[in-house]
Amino acid sequence: MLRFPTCFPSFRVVGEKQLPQEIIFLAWSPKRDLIALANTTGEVLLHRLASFHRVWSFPPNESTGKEVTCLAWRPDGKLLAFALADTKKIILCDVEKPESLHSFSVEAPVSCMHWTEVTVESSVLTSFYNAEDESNLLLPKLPTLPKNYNSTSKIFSEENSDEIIKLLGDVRLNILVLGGSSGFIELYAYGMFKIARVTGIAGTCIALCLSSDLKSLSVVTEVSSGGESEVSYFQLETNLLYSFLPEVTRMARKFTHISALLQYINLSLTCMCEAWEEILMQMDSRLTKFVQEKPTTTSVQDEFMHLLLWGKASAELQTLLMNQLTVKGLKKLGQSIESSYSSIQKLVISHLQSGSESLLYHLSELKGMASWKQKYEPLGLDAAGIEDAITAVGSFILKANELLQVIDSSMKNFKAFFRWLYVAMLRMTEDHVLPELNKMTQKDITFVAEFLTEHFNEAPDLYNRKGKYFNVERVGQYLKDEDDDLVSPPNTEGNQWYDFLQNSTHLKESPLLFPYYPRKSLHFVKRRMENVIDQCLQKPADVIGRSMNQAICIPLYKDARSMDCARRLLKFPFLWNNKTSNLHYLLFTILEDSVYKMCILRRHTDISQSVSNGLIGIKFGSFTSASADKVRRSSYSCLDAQFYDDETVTVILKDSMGREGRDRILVQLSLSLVYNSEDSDEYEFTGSYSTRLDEQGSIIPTRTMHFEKHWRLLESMRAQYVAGNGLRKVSCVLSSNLRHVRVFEMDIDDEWEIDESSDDEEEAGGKPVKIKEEVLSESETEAHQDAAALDPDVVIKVEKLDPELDS
Amino acid sequence: MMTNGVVHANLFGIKDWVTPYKIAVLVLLNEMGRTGEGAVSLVERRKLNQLLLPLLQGPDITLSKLYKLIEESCPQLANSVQIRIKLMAEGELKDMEQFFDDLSDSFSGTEPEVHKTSVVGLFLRHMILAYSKLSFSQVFKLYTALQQYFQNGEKKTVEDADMDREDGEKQMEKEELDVSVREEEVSCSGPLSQKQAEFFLSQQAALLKNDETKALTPASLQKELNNLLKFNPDFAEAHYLSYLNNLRVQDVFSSTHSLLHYFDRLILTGAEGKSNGEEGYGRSLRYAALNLAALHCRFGHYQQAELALQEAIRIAQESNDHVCLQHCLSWLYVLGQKRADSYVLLEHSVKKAVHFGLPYLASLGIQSLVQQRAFAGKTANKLMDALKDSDLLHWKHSLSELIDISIAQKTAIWRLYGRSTMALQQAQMLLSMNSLESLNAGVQQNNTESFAVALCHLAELHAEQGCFAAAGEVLKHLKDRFPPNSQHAQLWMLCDQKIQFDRAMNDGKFHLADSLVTGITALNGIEGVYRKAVVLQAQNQMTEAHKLLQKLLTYCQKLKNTEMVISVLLSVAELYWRSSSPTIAMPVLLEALALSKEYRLQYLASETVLNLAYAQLILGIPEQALTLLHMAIEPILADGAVLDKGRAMFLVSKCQVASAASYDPVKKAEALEAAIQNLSEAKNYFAQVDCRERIRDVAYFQARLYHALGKTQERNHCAMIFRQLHQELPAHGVPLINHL
Repeated sequence: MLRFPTCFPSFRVVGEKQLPQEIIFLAWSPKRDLIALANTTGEVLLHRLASFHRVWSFPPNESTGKEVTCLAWRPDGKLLAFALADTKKIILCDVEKPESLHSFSVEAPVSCMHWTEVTVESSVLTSFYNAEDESNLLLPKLPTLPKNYNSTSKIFSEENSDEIIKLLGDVRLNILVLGGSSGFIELYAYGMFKIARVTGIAGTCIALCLSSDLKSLSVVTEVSSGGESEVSYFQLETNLLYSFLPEVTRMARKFTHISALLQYINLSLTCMCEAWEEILMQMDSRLTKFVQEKPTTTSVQDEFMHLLLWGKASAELQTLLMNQLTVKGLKKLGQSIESSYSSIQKLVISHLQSGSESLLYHLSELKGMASWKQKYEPLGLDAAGIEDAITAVGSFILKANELLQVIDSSMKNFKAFFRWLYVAMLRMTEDHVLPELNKMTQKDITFVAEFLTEHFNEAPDLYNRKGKYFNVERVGQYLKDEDDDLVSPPNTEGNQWYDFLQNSTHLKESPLLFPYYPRKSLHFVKRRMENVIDQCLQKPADVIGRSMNQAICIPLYKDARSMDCARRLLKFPFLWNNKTSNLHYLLFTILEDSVYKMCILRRHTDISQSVSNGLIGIKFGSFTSASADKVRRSSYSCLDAQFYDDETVTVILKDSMGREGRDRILVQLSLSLVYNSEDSDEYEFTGSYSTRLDEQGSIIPTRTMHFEKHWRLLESMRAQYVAGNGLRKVSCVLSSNLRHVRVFEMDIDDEWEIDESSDDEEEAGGKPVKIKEEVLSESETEAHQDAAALDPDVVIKVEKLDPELDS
Repeated sequence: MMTNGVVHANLFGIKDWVTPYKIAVLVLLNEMGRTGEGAVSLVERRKLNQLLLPLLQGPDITLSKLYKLIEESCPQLANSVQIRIKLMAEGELKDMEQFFDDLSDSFSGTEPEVHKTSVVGLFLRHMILAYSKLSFSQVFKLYTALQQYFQNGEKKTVEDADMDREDGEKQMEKEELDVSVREEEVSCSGPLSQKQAEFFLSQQAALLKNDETKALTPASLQKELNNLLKFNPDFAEAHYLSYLNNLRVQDVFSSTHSLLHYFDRLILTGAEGKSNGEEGYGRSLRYAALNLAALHCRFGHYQQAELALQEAIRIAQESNDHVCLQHCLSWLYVLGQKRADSYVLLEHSVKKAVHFGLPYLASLGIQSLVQQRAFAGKTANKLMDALKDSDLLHWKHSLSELIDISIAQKTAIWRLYGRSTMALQQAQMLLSMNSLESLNAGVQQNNTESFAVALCHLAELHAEQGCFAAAGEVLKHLKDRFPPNSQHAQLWMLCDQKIQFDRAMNDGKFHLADSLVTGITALNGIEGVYRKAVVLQAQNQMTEAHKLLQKLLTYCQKLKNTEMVISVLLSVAELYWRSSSPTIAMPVLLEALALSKEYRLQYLASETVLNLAYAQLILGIPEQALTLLHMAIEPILADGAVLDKGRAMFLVSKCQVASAASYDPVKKAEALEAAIQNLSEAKNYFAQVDCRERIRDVAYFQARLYHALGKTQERNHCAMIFRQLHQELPAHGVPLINHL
């Protein structure tokens, strides 16, 4: 049985804080007593309920962005997503550490987001959830990227690459819905991969809610014109997602893997580019300069050849070698070439190759899915496109392998060449040459001679293209992000396989063979691969997006407030999805007699079904007793309202008669009273949903609620906004200056409860809570003082507060 | 000594000889030095410089060829060289004497033309030294040789001129340009100098290792070697090459003989030349025994091999030679491969090899271990990790051969796990690789076993996907690269016959398949027996097939050949459900499923699931079968053979129809529509491999479904297709739809 404390107020203050920056967004963690805040500087903060202690802060920075617009928690409470308007990025951040685990860009700034967990069960899904992912068993773990690349993406920085799996969290699908201006709505599976892109909804999204049974998506948009904005409610049907849930889940997981791997490959390539140093070009530039300056007509190649065969160098070559290159410089160049090449080599083998092999593996599995046309074709998975993607990845791996060979031969060439040159230079200076250096086998000599003929050719057309005559250094050309063809493409002549392939008739056209682009750089092939993969990954998003029809549109009201709420937290109108009864709820206010009246619209998630009491208005009658004489004739305006849990709405009211600092009231409104089954028929909405609702204000059925308990006067605080968390039974109230936060524990009556859930059940059961008509002789002040006396903690806290609390 | 199979002959010198050809080259060098900057144009000079190295390193060539070569670079110089040689040869002995005297002057003076340490300088000095060592009679001999050489050259030039007029130049040029070693060229010339011999031996050895077909034929190589040994019988490396050459033709006697000779010479030269003679001596003994063991092992004389190995181990232990012991250990593993616990040896060997810094041995050990583990069903990610780590080492030391093996092994592992896309990738990666060792003979790509393996996989993958023409071309390429009598030819022979067998089975030509069984059995006994059973089964000779399969099963279980065990189990199960007792098939199938899951043989696992689902369908629980199929369809569609894809889709539609029986009419019609769609898919797949028998079945089924839906026109169309195919391939009273 419910028991109520005999004294007011119902809610206990557990924390209060003045914050240095204005808060623009706040959201409770769905699982823990943590609240995430975003402030005007672009900082994201995580606070703990207990004394509102700060857990961490994610400072704004150049790369991520500075203008946080909204926040959303993953339903399991392990990840926090926030949107940045200036960089148009979405950042996923671990609750444990303030670091970006994953980020992606969107087309337009995001104004609101919502993260839903899918709760549908089916036998196929369960078997799929239980099935282990084979890729873990077959693919080796991806090695960690070097430390300095951590900042961009944390996924790959941890010791093992299972981070992707960890990031994906539970196998059960969860979907992050993003909404922005001009009807921009996108759905991201697991918060990472775009599975749908909806267009054709007018106005800027201000609230979104995807029902957890995946049957429909509620959207509230705002179309502003001339200082006023018209707010409307839409319901989009998402039946495709619902009926193909197992397929969507599988596809989304694969897609997420694939896009993460693409990112990994990209980062590996960046690492490789960094390992390649400009110093390696020194040989090219020195030689080019030499050609430009030297007066003789002999070519560089001849000069070196002569030096090799006859042991004599022209005066010009001697100056080049002795004065410009110098023995020391040669040594240094040799060392940097070796270190740089070997680190690139390592990266190619351990990172690039294994990354792209994993990618290929996942794509081949995706191909299997796509070929199952009955299941995946309606979702827009295109088998031919995926085969193209596989081919593109194959070509990329071939290219990477070619790079390995080029590095290998370059290393050998340079080593032999430098060794010979070193000895030759020592001889020129008539230094002592160590006998072990002097030894050169016939093979070495041939090697050097070949190197000279191959690499030291002057190429005037190259000079026009790149401003140099030589291309001795051959690794850099693969890593440059240019569209140009390779300066010195590898020689495939004499490769029996390619010769054979050229002359074959059937094999040449074999779809199983991966094309090889002998003249293209690694970067080029990579970009091509990315485009192809992106294309086939984009298609389902378009197809699913197109399937999401706008089923219902209800214009709600015109609002003149929108201007001053440019930076709104907002919340209003507020959408909520009741998972157990599959209902969408919408809380909004209508201006009536200069008072904002709260209205609740509810709809079934399945569009074809209807629900009783679709629209109901709430009037707040009195907060004391029924001895009406003693009560002032107050009218209450609803400032903010939010669902606390499925059965309760937390509301902040403004008492039009109240004194400054004593005019805000926090109320827990129980829905079981609003949707009282006894007289529900009297409250059916008879108007039309196609006309704007505030124009039909008078015919909206309105219930007047009287409160005796479950409310509290908010002392010395211009409370404006509220965020409630029914799971942890806490609420957070924010003042209108956006800096003053007060946290309440809402269930102090639970001290009498053995089981928390029984409370919910009883409330859900709609047990009539008798509003006792208890007479309270004095005003709320006394009541509050009573409470304060009972709770010394609060007193202390109140005393400590800034004197200029709400100014 | 051998390092990676390449003979470095320079350690034990043979004397440099002055030959007439050398004199001609010396004249050329002298001319080049004398003419200085102005006389020869830049382009000509460059060409000459490029020509010099092959001339210095290559074998002796005839004078006319030499002229030709010089003429191509610089006609003017060719002329003067010709004149000077003519003068020398037609003059007196003292002209030659004078020439060598002048030669030594080129180093003197304030501005010498040649630096004494340069390539040309070294050559000059070598020659001058060799000349001054000659006794008078030898000098005279040389002079006569020179005269002879000149006269031959003159004759040839005249002939050439004649031939030029007759045949046109193209053909000649081609021949002349080729400076590389040709049979007649080598045999016509005199003894090779040290450098030339070194060059020749290392080149041939490398070719033998990397691309047998490019090397000299066994006979001519032997002739060359004999020639070489005639002048210098103590040239140990030549004996070794002769040993390798004899191995090629599988000549036990000669190869043993050459090997023993090699070590005899090695011990002799080692004992006299080195200060640590005792050390060199013992070392050679140890390796001699080790090599002998390897030799016996190659010829399959395991007992002798073991004895030789024990000898090697004994000597190595006595002298505390850990490196040699490591080699012995790996060979011990090779010999004991048949035993179950041999991998312990290998593990030990890898650890020790790493400890003693023998990367080559260690990598080989890792690769053998990976292979062994893959068959033992260890997780692939660990194996791949190990291969990747060793790859890092291979690339670091650019061990081309090991890289190739590693990629080929990855191809095989992915195939084993039934991931055809991954295997395809690895195979192509290997094929696109050029050799990392730069070889002078213009060999870009090796021709080792790894390439044969990768190409075979490629052919099979193409055949699986129905690209038979392409597969045929790959096989033809294999035939060209690995002629039937070469070492690795057996690989493609087996592959070829397997593909043919599978095609024959698909087409229903069982007699043809039966005739291929003998060939397969000759190359791989187990495979042959299995295929025989499959043919018997297809020919409805159930009892014989069952007997054969049971025998094979016990044998393979003893050998721990899991892949084959599962295949056999599947065939046995098929026998059961074909003889209408699917309940007995169930436990067999479950055993197969458990095995294939444990060993992660994806391809066999999907196959098993198909069989299981079919058995369930027969048992009358199509809903169960359908859920089971959900597991298998995606992997099959992703990586399976086209035929399997078709079978899977066919089975799905059968199950859909069967489970729709209890539905209400609207839902039933929907299910039937879906089934028809799947059937069309299946038909497409079957058409790709031209499997008409199955297309016939699909058409029959489709016609029935259209009939049930009341779509007369479509029904008639399908019925017509069925009728046509049925006339071609009558169904011999076998119930139409009783196979997977």
